Order: sequence, then C-alpha cells, then structure tokens
Amino acid sequence: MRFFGELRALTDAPVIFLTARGDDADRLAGLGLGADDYIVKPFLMRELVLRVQALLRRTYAIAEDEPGAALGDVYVDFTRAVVRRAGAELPLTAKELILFKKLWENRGRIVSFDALALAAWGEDYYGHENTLTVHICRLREKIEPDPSAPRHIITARGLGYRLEGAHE
Amino acid sequence: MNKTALKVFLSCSAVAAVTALVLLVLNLGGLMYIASDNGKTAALAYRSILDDVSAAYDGGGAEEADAVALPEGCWCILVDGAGNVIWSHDRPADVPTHYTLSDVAVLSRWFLRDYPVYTRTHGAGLFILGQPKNAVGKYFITLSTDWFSSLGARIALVLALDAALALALALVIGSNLYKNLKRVTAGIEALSREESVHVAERGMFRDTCRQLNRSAAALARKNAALAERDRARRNWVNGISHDVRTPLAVIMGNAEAIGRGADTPPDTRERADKIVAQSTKIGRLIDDLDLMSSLENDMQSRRRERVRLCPILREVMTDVVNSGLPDGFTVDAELRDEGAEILCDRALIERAVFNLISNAVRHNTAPCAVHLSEYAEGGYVRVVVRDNGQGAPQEVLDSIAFIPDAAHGLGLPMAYRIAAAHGGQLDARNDHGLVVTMTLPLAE
Repeated sequence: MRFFGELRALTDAPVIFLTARGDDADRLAGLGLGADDYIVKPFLMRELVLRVQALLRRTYAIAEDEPGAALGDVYVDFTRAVVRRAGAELPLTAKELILFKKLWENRGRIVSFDALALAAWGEDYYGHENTLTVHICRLREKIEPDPSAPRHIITARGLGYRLEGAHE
Repeated sequence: MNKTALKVFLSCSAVAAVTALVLLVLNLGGLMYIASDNGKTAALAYRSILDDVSAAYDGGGAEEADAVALPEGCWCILVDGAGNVIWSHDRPADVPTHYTLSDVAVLSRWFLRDYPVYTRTHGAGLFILGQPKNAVGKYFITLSTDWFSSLGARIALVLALDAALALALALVIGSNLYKNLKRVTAGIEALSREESVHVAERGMFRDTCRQLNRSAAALARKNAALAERDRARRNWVNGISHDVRTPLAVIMGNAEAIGRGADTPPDTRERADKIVAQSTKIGRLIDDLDLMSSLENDMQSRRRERVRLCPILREVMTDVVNSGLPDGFTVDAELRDEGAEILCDRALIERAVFNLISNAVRHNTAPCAVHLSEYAEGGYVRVVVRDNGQGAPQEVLDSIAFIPDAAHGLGLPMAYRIAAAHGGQLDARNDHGLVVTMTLPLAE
C-alpha cells in the first residue's frame, strides 16, 4: 500500500491490485486507496487480460473511438445518434443511445434492468422500470425488422435484455 | 421498571396481606372460644350441685342433704327467711350463722368472707354453696343495648383498620423485597444479554448477588477465552488461505500458459486445462473457507446497509447466466415486490443467492429449469429458488444448519448461516425438484 502511494505520486496510470488477501476489508481498503481494480489470487490469466482491456478502454476511452455498431443489416451510428436501415436514417434519443451503447458494450450477455436504468438515469433510477420498457420498445421499432418478434434485443425474463446478432 | 421484580412484589404483598387478615380472624375466634368456655362450664357444674342438694333436702330433709357429696373444700348452708342458718354442711368457722338482707344482696353477686359462693332459692329459704377461698374470680360486666347494636360496625371498623395495617406492612416489606429483587433480576437480565455484570452485594439477597457476580465473572472469562480462540483460528485460516493463494496462482498461470501454447500437443493441453479447472476449484474452496470463517467470527462487525433486494437478485442471476449455463438449463425470475428493502451485508446476500442458484445448476442434469421468485409477506421478504431437477437427499436437507465435515457441500449451510446472521432463516424441501426458501426481515 505504501508502494501504491509512491506510484501514485509519480503517475496517474491505472492500477490493478493482484493479491492473496481476499477479505472484504482488504478489498475495500485497496479500492479505497484509489486502485482501479482488485483481483484476488488465484485468477485466470484470460480474466486478467480481459480486465486489463476493460480498464484500458475505460481509462483511455477506446470505446469512444468506436464510430458505431453493425447489427445485421442495421447500422447504429454513435457519433450522429442515428440508425441506418435500408437507406433510411432514424434518429435516436439521448436515452435510447445510452441504452443501446450499454447493450452493445455487453453484447451477447444479459444486461440487467438495473444496470440499464443506472446507465440512463443514474443512482436514482428506482421507479423508471416502466419508462425503460417504453424506451426499449422504441429502440426495437428502430432496430428490429419485426419489433413484435425481436431478433436483436432479446428479453431475459425477469432479468433484463441481451443484444444478439452483432457483427463487429 | 423491572417487570419480573414488580410481579413478585405485587404477588408477595397480596399474599402477605391476605395471610395476615386470615390469621387475625382465626386468632380472634380462638381467643373468644378460650375465654368463654371455661367459666361457663365451672359455674354450671356448681349450680348443678346446688340443684342436687336442694332436691335431696326436699326428699329426705337435712339428713338426705348431708349425704350429697360436695367437691373438696366446698361447703353448703341453708338460710331461712329470717336470715338464720337452718342447715349446713362443712361450714367453715368464719362463715356467719345469721345474715341480713344486705349480706344476702352482696354475697349473691360477689363473695362471702372471701369465699366464692353460688345461691339457689328454695321453699325453706336460700341455699348457699361456697368454694374454697381464691378458687375463682368474679367480674361484673354491664353492657348497654347500644353497645350490642353498634358491635357489628365496630368489628368491621377494626377489621378494616387491621386490613389497612396489614397492607401497609406488606407494602413496606414488599418494597424492600422489590428493591433487592430488582437488583438481582437486573443482574440476571444483563447476564443473559452477555453484558458486564456487577451487582452490589448487600440486602437480603447478598449471597445470591455474590453468586451472580461470580457466575458473571466466570462467564466473562470463558467468553474472553472463546473470543481469543476464535481470533486465533480466524488468523490461522487467514494465514493458510493467504499462503495457498499465491502458489495456486502460479500453478494456474503456468497451466493456462501451457494449455494455450501454440505448439502444445492436444493431450498436454487437456491435462493443462484439467489443472486449471481443479486449481479454480481449490480457489473457490479457499474463498468458501474464508467466508465461513468470517461468518463464524466477524459477523457482528460486518457493515450493514439498507438496499433493495431485487437488483441484487437480478445481478446474481445475470452473472450466473452470463458465465455460461450448461446446455439444457434455463433460469428465469419473477420478482413481485420491487420496493422490498433489507438491512444487509450486500456481498453476503449476493453470495447466498449465488450459492442457491449455482447449486441448482451444479447438482442437476439437463433439461432443468431454475425459477427464482421474490415476494414480501408480513414484515419479511421471501426469496424462493425452485428447480425441477432430481431434488436433494434427505440427509442434506436435514443438515443444512451444520457445516459439513468435507469442504464440498458448503453452499446450503453457508446460505443458511448468512440468512441467520441477517435475522432470517433458510428452509429446503423437495417438491418435484429442490425448493429453497430464504426469508429475510424487511428493513423498518
């Protein structure tokens, strides 16, 4: 921890703690010092690599460089906040764009209602569940060929939504 | 106010007051019986002798009357209308042979020359039966009719005063008892709360207080020893866990590197994958061991926060699904009370729910559906994890409250302890699969 302090004095580079101390108190102490991540031994090397990549993406905003997302014959342009489909452009609202980007970042994985609502409305998201459903419906209308039988934004019953059919 | 001591005080006071009153009435009755019976019996006996003498005199004159046996020391005379003694039997020398009207008036009620006497009228005059001097006492009591008419009211007044006095005495004695008892019960209550106890050793329960203080001191010593032992065990587990994690990380890292090497032969890759899988398993066991040790020892010091339960449940289920479910497994959630909030250590609740869901996945074969539901009911929120698999053996269901001998099978006992540590409970039963219900108190 003293080393961490010395390191921070020299650079603001992101730091991951790799440690054998797995207690909650230790984790809190490490993260409380300002570490960006905390991994307890033993861990999988692949997990470490993925976490480093995620940290670099967050820290240096690599994701921001992504211009858009290809979803079947649909392309979502992040910079202009529009959906391009069959030569037409449909504008996305700010909330729709945030929700889509959250799903895109976790494509192939379920994103819980809470994680989506947290991204769109912040900490005080409680009570926005119905609004979230409305936004997802509108998003489907713009992205899905058949919104009543969605192929891209799949509902995980009781949990959240999962983005499928992504082509990077 | 100490309720137990107050109850004892009130009941003791009531019993003491009632007992005092009953004793008072019994003693009063006994006194009246003793005082009234003897005097009447003696007087009646002597009047009976006079009757016998009178009858004998009527039947056979003086000779017949002489034959009547008198009690020892007694004498009898017959005085005619002129005041002269016309018959006597054992008359003492100091008893006169002639009487005036005033002599008769005095002796008929009191004494004749200090002899207690009884009289009986007869056709020939007046029989006088005398007892030895100082044989009996005589008291003349005159009572007015008012005295008799107000007797009931005065008895009632005396009884009321007695009752008030008994109650006052009971209160005074009871208050003293209450104070002493309160001190003792407060000490016992503090002992049951495992607080430090020292009761002042005085009053009627001095010995009890001394014993209580000794018991409290002994308990404190044992608790300190237990805490020290727990701390040592926790440190030992922590140390072992710490020491195992680092070499395990090296083993895993190398095995993974070998397994992913471009020129690694397939059988070596398979072996390396097995090493990684088993190392991962050992890592999880260490996590479980750490958590169980923490649950046993540090639960009181863990921080609690007020959180909504549903996001936790969704997050855990989402993690399980995103980690990759085996083919043929499905999970879904039905959360009815979105607003349900609990006071908890979030990480522990996450771990308990994770254990329940991953148990359902790990111990069943495909196809299998895992259903999680949540609802609030009567101050509690229930989380039900139900699967349609093969269920759990009865011995597992019977022993969810106990830590198993082996390191595996910790899932349910750990969830049980986590629920208990949050003031809730965990029930498991078989019903077309395993059904586990975790009940937690809602935050107030």
